[in-house]
Amino acid sequence: MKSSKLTTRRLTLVTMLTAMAIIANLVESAVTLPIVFPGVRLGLANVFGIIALYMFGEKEMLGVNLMRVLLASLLSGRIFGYPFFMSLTGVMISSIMVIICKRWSPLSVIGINCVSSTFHGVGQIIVVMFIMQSVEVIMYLGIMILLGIPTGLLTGYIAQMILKRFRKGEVKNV
Amino acid sequence: MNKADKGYLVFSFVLGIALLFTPRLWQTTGNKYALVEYHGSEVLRIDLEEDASYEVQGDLGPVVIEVKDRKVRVEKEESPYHYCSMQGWVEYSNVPIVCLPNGIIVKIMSDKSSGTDTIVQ
Repeated sequence: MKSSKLTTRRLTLVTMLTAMAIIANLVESAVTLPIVFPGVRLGLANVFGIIALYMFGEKEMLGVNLMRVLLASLLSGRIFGYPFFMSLTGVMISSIMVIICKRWSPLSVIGINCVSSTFHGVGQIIVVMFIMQSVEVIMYLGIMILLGIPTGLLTGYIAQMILKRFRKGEVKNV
Repeated sequence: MNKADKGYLVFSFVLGIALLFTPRLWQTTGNKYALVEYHGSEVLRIDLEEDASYEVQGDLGPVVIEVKDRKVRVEKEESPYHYCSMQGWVEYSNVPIVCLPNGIIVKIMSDKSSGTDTIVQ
């Protein structure tokens, strides 16, 4: 009985994280950053995947991230268009790198978030290179990586603050 | 933030700078021109010495490319976010103008580097 209660709580929390990630994703795609560079976003939706990773585990993070991309694309009506494949590849590559770094590197939540932000860009550029049939697009990765540093740091700090509160027990009966 | 985080930040900063500035080193000399490609195949070669406006057909409609003072920009295009026209004027080859929804890419090349680029491609 106890274990089933735990599973329900876990499931509810993961679902809520996914819902919040979808909202963050939709809001972010509606608002463009003042520095105009196509494809560069704050990555707020990514925070929820990282929280799922630290609170529950790798499977949950993959679930939150993939469902977020799938449902946000579905809700915005851009599913199976090129932005969907860019997001999907970005999220897959960044999730794999995050799992690798979490397992085998001493990086903290902030560092892990920066890794996620860098490799999100790598995944997106791979898709653009494939669509445009052009190698030169890789130069664009420089901007993506550089802008990924402040955005990764900011979202990393947010994730760290949220996780601290969860661990301290300030957030109860969620 | 621990030491490993700082190390990763330095690494990504150096990598970003290298990716951004390496192409500029190749193009210090030679005549510059803008190359317009549609899904990987060349559709237009623009002389940057001459101020003019050009139009190429993209997937969603016409893409208007303007050249002024050896700089190039996408003036008008049909796309959901108009990212490539928002990018503005481009003078160096660091960042190509990518109009993804239209399948159009505008990049600045120079005579000297064109040979190398052909080999890379």
